[in-house]
Amino acid sequence: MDANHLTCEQAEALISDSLDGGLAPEQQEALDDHLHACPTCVVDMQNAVTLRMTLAGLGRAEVATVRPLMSDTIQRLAAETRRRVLEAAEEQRRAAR
Amino acid sequence: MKPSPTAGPGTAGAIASRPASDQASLVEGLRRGDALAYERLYRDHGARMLAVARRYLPVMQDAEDAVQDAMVSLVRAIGTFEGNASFTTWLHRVVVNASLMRVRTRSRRPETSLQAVVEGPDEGAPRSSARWSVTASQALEREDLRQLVLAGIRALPETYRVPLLLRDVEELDMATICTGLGVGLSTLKTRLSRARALLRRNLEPTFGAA
Repeated sequence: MDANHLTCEQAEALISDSLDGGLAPEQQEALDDHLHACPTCVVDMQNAVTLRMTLAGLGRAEVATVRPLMSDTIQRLAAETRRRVLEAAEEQRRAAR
Repeated sequence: MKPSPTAGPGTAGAIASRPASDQASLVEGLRRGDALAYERLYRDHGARMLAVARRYLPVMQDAEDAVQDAMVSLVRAIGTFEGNASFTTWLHRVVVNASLMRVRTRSRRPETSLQAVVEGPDEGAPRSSARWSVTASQALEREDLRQLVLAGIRALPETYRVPLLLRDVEELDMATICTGLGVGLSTLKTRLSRARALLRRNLEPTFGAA
């Protein structure tokens, strides 16, 4: 990979790859060189890290929000499941006779 | 991907742990086919299960169906659950797997209604020229920002949404995702890069100006 010819699109892909593990030395060097000369990609990388941290924490924060909003749905699903479980138990009893 | 007691740190910490005795009694009840145990499962974990399913399936009915599918899977597989593993993590994986099955098999539906919630990802949108003023902590603490992120995820094309969820939200490792989705590593990397870029640009108007 030629550091002098790394496009912003290529840099964006490497920034994403870097979030999933280490880059190969030549990739890291090419990205570093590009970032040194491209403030837009530096901002992109900073925002990519912010988004990644947000997404990683999303599940934990989400449940507190959805619990009250979904209480009716949860109750209905629970009732449907109970009905299915009782039906299954009844079938097992019939089969055992 | 089969239900596994192992998962990424985000998954493991996503569901509040309950005392081991509570978990054991719940699992025992489920093994007996006790209907009350299923009610308790929903009461304690239902919101989480539905929230997880909804990430993958923007249409609520699809998400509800996936939760029901997960329950059927759970009934069939509860006998294989090892008591020393985390039940909540295992349950989480059951729901993710059921959701992925729905994603793969459901008939495609137009998701135009989502456009009313948030503009779809615009590949032609300009990249940000300034660092976001919103931090990750703020994004997680403010409900309006959380909802915006969720809506942005749901608005992503399925091809991008699912890898993003599995990697960045579920924090599964790359090899597991490749296997689960049946794609190669380079394809996964490309989709993740596009998904992240689209979501960033989608969030830019708010996160850049909040």
